Amino acid sequence: MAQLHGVGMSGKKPQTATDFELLYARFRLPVYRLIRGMVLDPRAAEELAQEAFQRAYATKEKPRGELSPGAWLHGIGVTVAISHLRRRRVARLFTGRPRAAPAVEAEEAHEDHRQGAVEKALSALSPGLRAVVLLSLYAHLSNEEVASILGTSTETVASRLHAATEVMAAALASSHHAEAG
Amino acid sequence: MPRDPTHTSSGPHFDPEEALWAEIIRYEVDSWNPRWLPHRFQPRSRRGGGRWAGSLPQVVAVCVLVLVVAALSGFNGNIAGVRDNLIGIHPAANHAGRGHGGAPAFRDTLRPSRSSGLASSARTGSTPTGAPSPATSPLGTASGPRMISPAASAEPPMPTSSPPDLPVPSARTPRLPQVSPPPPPAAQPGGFSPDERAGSAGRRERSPGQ
Repeated sequence: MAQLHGVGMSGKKPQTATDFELLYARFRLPVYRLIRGMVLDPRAAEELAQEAFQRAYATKEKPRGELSPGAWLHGIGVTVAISHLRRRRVARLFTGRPRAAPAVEAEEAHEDHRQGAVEKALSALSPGLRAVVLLSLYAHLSNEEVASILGTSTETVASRLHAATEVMAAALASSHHAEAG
Repeated sequence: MPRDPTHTSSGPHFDPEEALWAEIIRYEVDSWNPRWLPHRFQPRSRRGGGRWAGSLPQVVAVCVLVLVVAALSGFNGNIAGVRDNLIGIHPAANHAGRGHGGAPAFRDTLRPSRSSGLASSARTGSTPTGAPSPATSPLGTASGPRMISPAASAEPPMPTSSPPDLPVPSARTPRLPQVSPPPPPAAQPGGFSPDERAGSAGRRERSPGQ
């Protein structure tokens, strides 16, 4: 099991507000980056990160099994991000466009946001494969923890990770060919 | 670049390809920094209790007030009646104001009375539905001379209701035999029989010629 060395928070539930503040200070950026890798939207990722921590604070006293605090927070982040992606997909079905406000879209288009190679590779994955890649390859959680978060088996996690790396490699290769051509 | 303490060497074992991807992903993802994400955690207040805690006593007070008003106004299941009582509308006035059911009952009782000369009695406040028909109205009562048929109204009119210079009695005298008079009252002290009325009318008829 991966050890998430927090500020004295390893393997301990946050019982008080001070404990949770330490947890927030420790995992604020990792959870934000995980969510941003899931939704591929910087603005939405900030709101979803706050929502994930609020949800974690509301359920901080509930038992979370064998998960470490970091894995628990990453799991909440993945859940919030997948819910957001589902809402966005439903909104696209009804309106034909994403839920973002026009002002936000214009601002993001204006800030010269260049999509990196990893972002391109992640955008080629489904949300489920993205979650496996980010939880395993970025957060360095074990297959057991990823399987516990996603509600699958460790074998499924391993096979999904293998499939995801192949898809990402193909997406990057096609991107390089397009840029070279 | 310093290694993030989140990622430790005791993590999962990757094959070479996955390890390469892990390095690439970490390198790019660690450069993503938020703009507005606060550095300190601010827990929100609970939604359910905070939203309704202030207005709950007011809602309960309004419900109790409505129940008390409904009980005092004689609630019998008729919602329209309770509403009329609450807003201060009298049920009879409300029914009279409606154009469908209740209004014709009141207006229809007035129409035949006006056509038979009962407008003055209706104006004086007598109940329209309780007004006796001309055929059944007893003679000698206080309202009798006004409510009887034109044949029976051969008596001299009231000085306040008709001008004194109209020759009404002389014009109506020849029609008297055609109308069947109502039966005379059995015991009316001081009352006049039809013959006596005809005689008095005849005497009056002669007076303008004199």
